[in-house]
Amino acid sequence: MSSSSPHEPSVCLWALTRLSRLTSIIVIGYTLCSPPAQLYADPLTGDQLTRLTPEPTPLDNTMGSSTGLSQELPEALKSTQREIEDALKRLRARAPHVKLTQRAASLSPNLLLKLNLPLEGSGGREQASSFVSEFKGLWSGVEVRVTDAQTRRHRTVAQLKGYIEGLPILNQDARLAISAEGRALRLSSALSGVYQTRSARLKESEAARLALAHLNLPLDAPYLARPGFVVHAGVASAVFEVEAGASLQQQHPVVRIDAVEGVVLSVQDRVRR
Amino acid sequence: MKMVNTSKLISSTRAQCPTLPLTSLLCSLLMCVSACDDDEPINRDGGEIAGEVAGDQLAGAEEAGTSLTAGVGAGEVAGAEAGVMAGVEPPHLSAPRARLYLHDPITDEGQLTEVTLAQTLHEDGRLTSQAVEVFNCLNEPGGISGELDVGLPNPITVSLCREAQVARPDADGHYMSVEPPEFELDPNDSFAELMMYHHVNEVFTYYQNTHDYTRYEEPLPALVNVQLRTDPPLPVPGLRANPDGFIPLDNALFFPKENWELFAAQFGLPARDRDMIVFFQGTSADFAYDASVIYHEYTHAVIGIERLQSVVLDEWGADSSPPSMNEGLADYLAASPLDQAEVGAYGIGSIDPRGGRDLREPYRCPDDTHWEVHVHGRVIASALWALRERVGAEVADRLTFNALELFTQTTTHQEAGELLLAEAELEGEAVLEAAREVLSAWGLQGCERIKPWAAWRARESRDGVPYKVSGSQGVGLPLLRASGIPAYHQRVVTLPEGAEGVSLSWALAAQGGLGGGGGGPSPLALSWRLGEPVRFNYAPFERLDDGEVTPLKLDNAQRVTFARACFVSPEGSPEDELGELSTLYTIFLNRSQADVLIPELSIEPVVSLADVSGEVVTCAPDAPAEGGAEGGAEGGAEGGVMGGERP
Repeated sequence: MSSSSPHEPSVCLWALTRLSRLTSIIVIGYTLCSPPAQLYADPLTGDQLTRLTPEPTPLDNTMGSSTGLSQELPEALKSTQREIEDALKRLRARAPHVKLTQRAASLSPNLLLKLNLPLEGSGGREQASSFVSEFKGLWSGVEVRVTDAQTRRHRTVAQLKGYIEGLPILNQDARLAISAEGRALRLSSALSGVYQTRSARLKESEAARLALAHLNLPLDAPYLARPGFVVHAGVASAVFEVEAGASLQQQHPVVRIDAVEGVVLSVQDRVRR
Repeated sequence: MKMVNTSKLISSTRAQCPTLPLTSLLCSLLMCVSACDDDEPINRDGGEIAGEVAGDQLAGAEEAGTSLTAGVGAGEVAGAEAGVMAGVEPPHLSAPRARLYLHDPITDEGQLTEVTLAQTLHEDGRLTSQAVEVFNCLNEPGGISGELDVGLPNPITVSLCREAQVARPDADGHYMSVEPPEFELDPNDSFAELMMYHHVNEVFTYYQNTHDYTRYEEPLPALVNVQLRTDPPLPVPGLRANPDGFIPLDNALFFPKENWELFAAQFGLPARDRDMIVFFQGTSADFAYDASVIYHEYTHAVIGIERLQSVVLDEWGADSSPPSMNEGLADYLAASPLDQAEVGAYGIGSIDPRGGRDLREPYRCPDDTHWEVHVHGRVIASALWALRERVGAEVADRLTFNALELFTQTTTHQEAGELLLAEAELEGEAVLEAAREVLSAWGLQGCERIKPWAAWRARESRDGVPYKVSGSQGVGLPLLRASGIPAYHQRVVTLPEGAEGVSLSWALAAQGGLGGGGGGPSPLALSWRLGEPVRFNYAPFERLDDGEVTPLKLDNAQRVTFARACFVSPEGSPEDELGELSTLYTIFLNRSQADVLIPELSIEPVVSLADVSGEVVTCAPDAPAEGGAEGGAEGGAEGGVMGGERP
């Protein structure tokens, strides 16, 4: 077996990525290897003196500038938190041994362990729906739907997704384990309650134009776009997720456009390095 | 199964997308491969053609590996290799035999082992089973191609190798004659097909029997020996085409079917309804010879595209543990069923002098916390391997898979640890205790992502990968552009004895981004807090720190000095030499859209502040805020930032 010298780029995606950076030949999927240091040892392109100019708003999701809701936010947040607390009280009453953990950036619990909670319904999906219905306050401001249920051996795992104004939340989901006897066992959730919704001000075509321009593609290039929401820390922001053909610098970009502020929120490709 | 007429595809591609980028094109090419119908006669089933040709032209080629005459296509080679005799149909055996690597050429020390293959679905013995449908990709004309306009005077034609199910059984119905080629990098060998066939069936059976889990109801298309060529050849440094013009690539991939949808819709191509895995013929290894790589990619398919996808933000900063666990679990669930601690000993090891990823080597949070998913993935992978050594493979695998089933898009190390413990509890006290010990020791429970600020260079580090602070587009959460995206861990600084301050410096590099501007890396801000970690809250957002500074960027590097007063606890006086010293917690913030890489970190004690160049944080309450408007405004307001000497 041959091997590279220690001085050569040493991780397996190097060659592929290097090619891709020049020719965009890269493919979509989960890759095996990580990139090497050399890949990032970028040439000295920025040797001019540069100073960062921070944007003026220091605390972003207190910003009312785009929504006009700054005075209402604390009460809206408190109200949402109260509703979640009420749901948790009901849950604790029915599942006294429940163990709960919650992330800093979530208004709702992220793990509910030791539930052992009997559910109504004849199958896993129905039982999951009854759990969601009974404790929907856990995700105040979000409509949670059971989108899938897989039964394997002694339990069913149901997938839950959130919707706001009928549109999917693109960055969060949850899974509920249910025993063969119809008891909720544990919930693993990234879904958070929402106290503020920032609705779209952009049309899909405008979002697509932003995405295409960001990708240096012709504005009449074909694309696929779907509306949805991205939720963080209880704030739901309308977005469009735009997929378009790649250009010289891109692999398989999926561009999320902030449909409220009209800016590129994220650009990700599906390659994992 | 959908049908694709290859010739139609080519014309469609050319007619409708003259500026189709290479990426799209390659995706299209790869995804089309498996969309064709088995009964499609043209170019679709090279194996059938091969069989016929072999029968006509190579009758009597009884010996495996028979050399072929010039002019006979590679598609025909395997037929000959398989020893198909004219007019004799091999029996369709229920348990055909073959000689393969159980792991890979390195782990198996070059020794092949006789194995029983899963029965093929087709009587002709092409390598399709309930689990997998294996295609070779032959370096010869006939592959899907398209044209690319990259602004050069003439468009570039990009061609994929020609896909075909080549391997066939010997006259006795077995595959014993299909052996590793003399030339290890043979881009058309059928041994790669056979390795892929056997090991996908094995991992399929593992999930089915061990976990009662079947990922796919239909065979998963798997493509081996993949290479492509461009005409004219593109002058790409570091990549050299073979004499036949095809370019080897060192990689293996899992392709979710969703990635095909856009291209299908755009270019009028038929939809496809299956994921696939793709193995390239590499520059120094054939990745299909490495069973652990096959298991790894298959496990990505099992994890799917709705689990473990996104970076999250928590009280410590950014956390890449969700996508990293996607990689780490793919490693563990490759290593454990194969009972092989090192993943990619041959595949990765052929191009990385450090070898594959050995799960016996502990990676822990916070020391090994990293943005790069394969590096960071080694935390959970090595933890699970350690647990496996404590409780055995059967229990460890069961815990792992059951916990994985509940993972979401953004399950973190901490949550994964708790879900693993919940599963361990069902196994009894001894297993639970072992799991507690391992998960705590490896940092999947209760980890604070903080480590000392120490001199560090990516090139000399264990993994050779620089640190990174993601930009807003790397995290993709609204409303955080102004506050900045925090780094993946905090760094703690201690004032050396006798020093008047500490200088911190770091190099910057840009990472190639997707779209947007370009240019050099943006400077990073550094937030600090005395005595306790910088803390982030999000609803509403607040960052609890003592100050922030954005040092001048010069030659892609930044430097800042913290004076002694910054280390003195509030109870003491800055002027008091005996004041109690505390540690300073720091974290980088990135306010740009693009990711910024940090290939180098330095820390130096300062004997005299008068000799310091660059920015100085004095921490004097009333210090003038000099050194640039923004820096002064940001950090100077609280911390007293002074501009030092400018080089």
